[in-house]
Amino acid sequence: MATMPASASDLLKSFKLKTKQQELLIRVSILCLVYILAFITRLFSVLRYESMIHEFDPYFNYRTTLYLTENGFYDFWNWFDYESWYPLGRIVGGTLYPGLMVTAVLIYRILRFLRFAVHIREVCVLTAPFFASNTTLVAYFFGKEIWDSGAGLVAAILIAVCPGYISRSVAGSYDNEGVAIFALLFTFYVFVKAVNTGSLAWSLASAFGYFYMVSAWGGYVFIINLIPLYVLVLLITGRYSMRLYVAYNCMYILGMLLAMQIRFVGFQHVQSGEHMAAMGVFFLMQVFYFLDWVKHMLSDTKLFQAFLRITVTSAVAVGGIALGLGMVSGYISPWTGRFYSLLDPTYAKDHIPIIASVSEHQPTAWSSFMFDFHILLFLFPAGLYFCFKRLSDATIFIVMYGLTSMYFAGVMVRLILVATPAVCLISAIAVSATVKNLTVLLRSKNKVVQTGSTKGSGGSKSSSKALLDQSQPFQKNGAIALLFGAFYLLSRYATHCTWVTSEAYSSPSIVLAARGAHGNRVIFDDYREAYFWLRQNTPQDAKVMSWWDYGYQITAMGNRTVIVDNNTWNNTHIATVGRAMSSYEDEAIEIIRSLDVDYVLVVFGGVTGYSSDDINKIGGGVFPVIKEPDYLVNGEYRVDKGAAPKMLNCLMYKLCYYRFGEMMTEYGKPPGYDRARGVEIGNKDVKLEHLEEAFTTSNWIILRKDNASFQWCLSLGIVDLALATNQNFLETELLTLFQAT
Amino acid sequence: LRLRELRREFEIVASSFITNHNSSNTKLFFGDIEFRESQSSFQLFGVNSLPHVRLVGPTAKSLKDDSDVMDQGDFSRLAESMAEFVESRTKLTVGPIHRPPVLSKMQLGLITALLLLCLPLVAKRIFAGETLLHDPKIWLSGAVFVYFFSVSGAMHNIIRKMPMFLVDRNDPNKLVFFYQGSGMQLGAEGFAVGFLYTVVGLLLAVVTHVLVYVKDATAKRLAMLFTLLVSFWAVKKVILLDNWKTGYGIHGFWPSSWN
Repeated sequence: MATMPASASDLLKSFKLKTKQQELLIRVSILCLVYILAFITRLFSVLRYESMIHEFDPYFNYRTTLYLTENGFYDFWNWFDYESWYPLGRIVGGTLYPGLMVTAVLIYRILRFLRFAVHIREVCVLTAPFFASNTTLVAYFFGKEIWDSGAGLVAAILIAVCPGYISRSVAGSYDNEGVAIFALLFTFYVFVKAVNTGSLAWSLASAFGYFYMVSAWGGYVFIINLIPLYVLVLLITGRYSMRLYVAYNCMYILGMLLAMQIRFVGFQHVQSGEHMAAMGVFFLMQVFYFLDWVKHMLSDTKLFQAFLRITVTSAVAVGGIALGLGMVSGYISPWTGRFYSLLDPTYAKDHIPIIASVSEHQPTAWSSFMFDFHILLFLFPAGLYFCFKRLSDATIFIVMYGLTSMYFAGVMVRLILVATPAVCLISAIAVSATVKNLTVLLRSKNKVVQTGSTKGSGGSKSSSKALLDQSQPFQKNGAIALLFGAFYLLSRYATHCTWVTSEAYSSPSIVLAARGAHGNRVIFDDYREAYFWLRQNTPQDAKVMSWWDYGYQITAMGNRTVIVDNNTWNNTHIATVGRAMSSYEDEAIEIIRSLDVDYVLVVFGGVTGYSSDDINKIGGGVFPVIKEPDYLVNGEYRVDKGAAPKMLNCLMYKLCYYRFGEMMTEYGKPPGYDRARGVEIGNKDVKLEHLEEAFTTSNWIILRKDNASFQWCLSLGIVDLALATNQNFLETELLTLFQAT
Repeated sequence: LRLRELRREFEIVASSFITNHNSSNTKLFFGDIEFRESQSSFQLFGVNSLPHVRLVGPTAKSLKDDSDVMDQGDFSRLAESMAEFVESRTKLTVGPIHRPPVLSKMQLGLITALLLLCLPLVAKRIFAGETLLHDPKIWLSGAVFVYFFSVSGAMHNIIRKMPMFLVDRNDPNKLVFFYQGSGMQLGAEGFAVGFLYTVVGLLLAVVTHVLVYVKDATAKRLAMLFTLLVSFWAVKKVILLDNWKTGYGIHGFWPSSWN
């Protein structure tokens, strides 16, 4: 009997974990919870609408993934698509980044192998959240590498919900960035690990990580410029070491060779100006190694100094001359417009309107930063300061990554995505160091704290205080108060992120929602209705002309040939379409017939006020016949009585407002009141001679028919998007309609 | 009005035309009139607003009515748009526009020579570890500056050439410093917000670094309280400003069964 309690308590004791095991358990459970959190916070749109692919670009990716599953890798790699950019066609295999599609198909095959009967679309929809969860794991390890495991955990939590990342990785956003950010962070982590340990295995892993990044996204140029810059900074600040040598050499050479396997990249690593920095630093490293070896050999320091000076001078001179020769002879191409506009931000606005017109490429106002980062912006400089206090190879890297990506994020809204991991990591350092100091203070029992030795910070709604070093009861209370403040701050961050995700970033933009008169939710599914009508009611070889925004969706869902799509690789072709849309009907019909078009698709509806002169800029840039001032009155677009005559009679206007003059759209307003622009339209009596209405979706009842030349016209109607709260959608829709008009 | 820039662009068009046609074509002449010297010429052409670019055809009888004026809307003050105007009205091509390079060949050569000369000196200093670059404080202040620059939306102001402040439309005497509406901002607004962000970080640095050397306990407490209050106020201000500007009502989501 006496042994029973003993064995029971022994049993219990055997279950009681040691501190290290407790710690491990807590860490693992936190990571599991964060993994699940990152996944489920991206599922808003799947729960609200259904599991479908969003936006425009993902539809192209989805179509190529379908092709890959059906036809295998070799056919995919050599695919020439004749269904888009009619009559030019598009070499798909050589003009895309295959990483995303191959990954999705791999996951699909694995699931199928395990006998889960999923459709490829479900895999595509959920790829981005899955990789977001993986990114949180990588962020944990990265944080652990830079600072300690506490910082890693905080980094994982912060990046799981950060809106800057969520914006491009919700469920349904089947786009390159969803996978690319994972590849980016993974490459950086593995490289920093290689520099810290000097191991060849980690360097090899970083080369493969780089290869994955190159296969996934065009933004790999950021990696191939940041890492050489980092190496250069280390060299300048005197931190050259064998570890750095091994890591960079292995990564650069192997990474470059692997990257050349992607046809879209080709030989750019040796030919393009954007990649020359990496090569230059590579040669510089060899010079450093050589000098190190000579120093080791020579015993005379004076001689060595002289030798040093001569060598470095001649090396830099030779490098400069070689670069100059390469650029002058044209072998090394200069920076392309897309990336040059990051160095000289005013370049795109003046010279390449099609790049400047995309809403994502606009410069960032401070409210966008606040929207996407919230309190991380305040913690960022605190984290910077902590990193500078403990300078090591790893912290130098994260500081550089943070600063360069913040600068680029200031130039282009879209690049906030690239800055997100850096900001999360640096802020995590600040939070973790603060909380650690505070809790150490709380747990210390009657220890006398030395004056000036504590370095604490954090607090309610602010982030900078030092701790009092006398009167210990105050100290403990102060620490508790500050801890509560820190937790309050973080909970506000979580609230903000969830609200932003739910309201702003979870719209599929192919299905719209608005609030009806009684507060009930009204869903507009016009796009899909129209595409499926196309699929089911038109001949197989019909050609559809529309503005380039819808190209991908028409080919993917409507399964018909289009004239131009989102790839925008041929400006002249786009300009032709633009010219057709903005000319009078007689001129337009010539263009339409020459392109062999059977259907014209227009989107009607939208909100005004956006700088919308792109179609004429693009059309007018190639064809001087289109002059933007012809369509403007006092410098603005108008559709009412005071509108320019060219506007009132151009094809787009006629197609959109055909028979609209008879419609009563709003109670108490005259017929033909355009709810989107808030004016009564000018030309109510629209007659179409060559085009005929084929189909209108259920939210506008406008039919056009013309038997004379068998041209069919199709139009979608989207009502009053002022009610829709989705900011991103508003911007896309604005862009859409005005470019169409 | 930036008339000087316009004149420079006009000169570039003129010189490009001359170089492209090798001085053989005498069909097109470029000229400019200055108001103080030739007021009567202004009257002749019927100029009533500036900037004013006009093309007089060979068959024009009256300078005022028969010549083509370049529309205000066509103006982008660049040589290319003026060349287009010429081409569309006269059917004469101006040809490619030759812009003088930023640095002339002589200047470029001089700069390269200078660089090569001071390269060994710089290399020696770097290896000795004495340069300015080796001080972490310099890097820290540089880092904070880059952060301030990006986060305050200064790039946005530079690219879009936003003014520092606007005059209120309804009341011409009032100045508007803050733009209500997300996605755009004014110059002063950016600096104000950036300053608020940075002040929080700087206070942290001051408190943890400078304050520890102060001996007086009360002074330390006061300084710390001051820091607390200022940081609190700064963060609150930024959040308020953000909510006012964007108009978003950010709230948590409670289960609907609780309502």
